[in-house]
Amino acid sequence: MNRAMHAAATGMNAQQLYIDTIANNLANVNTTGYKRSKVEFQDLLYETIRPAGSVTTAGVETPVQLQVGCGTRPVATPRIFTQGDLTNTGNALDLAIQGDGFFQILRPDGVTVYTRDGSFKVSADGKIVTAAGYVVQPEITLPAETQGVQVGRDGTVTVTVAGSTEPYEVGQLELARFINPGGLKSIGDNLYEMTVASGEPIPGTPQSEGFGEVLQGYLEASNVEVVEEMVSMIVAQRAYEINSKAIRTADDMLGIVTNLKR
Amino acid sequence: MIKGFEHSTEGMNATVVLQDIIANNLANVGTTGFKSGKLFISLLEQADNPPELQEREALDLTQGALKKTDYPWDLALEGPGFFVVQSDQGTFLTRNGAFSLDGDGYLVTHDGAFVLGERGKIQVAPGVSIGEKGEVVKDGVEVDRLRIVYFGQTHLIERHGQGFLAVPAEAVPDELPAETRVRQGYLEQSNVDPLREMVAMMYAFRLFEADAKALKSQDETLGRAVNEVAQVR
Repeated sequence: MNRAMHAAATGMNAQQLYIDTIANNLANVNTTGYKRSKVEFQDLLYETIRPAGSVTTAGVETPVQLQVGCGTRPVATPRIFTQGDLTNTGNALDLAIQGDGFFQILRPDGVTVYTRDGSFKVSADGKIVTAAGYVVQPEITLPAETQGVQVGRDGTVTVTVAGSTEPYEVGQLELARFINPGGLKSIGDNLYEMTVASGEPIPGTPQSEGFGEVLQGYLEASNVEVVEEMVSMIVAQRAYEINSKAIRTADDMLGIVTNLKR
Repeated sequence: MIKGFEHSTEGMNATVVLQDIIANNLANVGTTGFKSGKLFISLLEQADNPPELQEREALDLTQGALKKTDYPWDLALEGPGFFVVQSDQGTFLTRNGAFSLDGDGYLVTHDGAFVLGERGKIQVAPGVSIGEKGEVVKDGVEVDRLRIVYFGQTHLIERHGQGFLAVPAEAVPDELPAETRVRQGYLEQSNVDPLREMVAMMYAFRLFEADAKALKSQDETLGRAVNEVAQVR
């Protein structure tokens, strides 16, 4: 009886995590460059009550074993890196990647991190930085007298300065790609860190083979699909409920056993 | 009288196993590629001998619904058959096609077991797609093919846990039915039918209750025999 209760409890725990993930996806429905997560579940190990080939009192060998499972467990929460919708902002330093690739950002602790959120700003010393002030790699400095910035689809950054009509190039944005982006570690602030599972970053220029292009004046919206998340939420809630019923039934059966003895 | 007790307890034990299997099915209502278990109980002995019930779990291998995920390494099988994976514990079968890539670009399960193709482990680079027959296609050229096996004798298939199934080492796969297809970007959902499980749960509960009632009334009869019939005045 305890087996049934514990199996159902693992089911409730799993559905709880499912709801947590859905809630986080829905909370980030308007987060620039956010990629939705999904949860993967697996069944747990099986307890063998009667092994195959055991002999009954009648001398018959049982052909198959009797196994009872111990429930379920969440095994992974991979991110789904499909393209988010592009929204036009008109802001010169809002950059969106259409296709594969990540912007590379240098964190103050010296670690390079990756993001799809291209809402960049200019720091006091003219560097292109993220909203948190982290410097975009490779470092691009805009001259103090800059009047206009143009970012090409191939990532070249050109500026026009006061007193000159001729724009000139100040740098080249680079993207990084991963064999398995699903294995990247989310560290919050729309940033991802490399892991063993994601593989080493493969740097390259936008529009080169396999890389996406950079669009100036656009931001990539979250790829969360609200309707799909709502449906998942209903499914998760019902699964949670039904597992609680299994626990209650097991409990009622224990109650019957307890009442056998007058 | 005591034999009656044994009948009832044997029945109650079988019902407990049934309830355990239902609970495991319900816990796995959201588990990718999970196949629900069914309990078969057969009476091995005549009723005038000590009763002996044999419980046997059989897998319900019917197709689960396909769910679109857009994750490129989510693969679903439509039709009979199993993917073959290799973990450090051996080679297993699975219907759970929620795969991923490891850092070296090998196609693996979320536990890190390698997915096997006809030429062994499958290394995929960006731009590789999986065709309907499991072809691993790179730049329009088939570089490998997913190993998909089928066993007509479904009773050979046993659970191993963690989404894996196993067959005895000597089992020989049958020819894969032609209708089996691989769908990339989809996952096969659990085939547990909550309605059927709820009904089974109610049924098992009432069976258990009835056995308990039978046990109790036998106890009462025995009590009478001991305390009233055999009373010495």
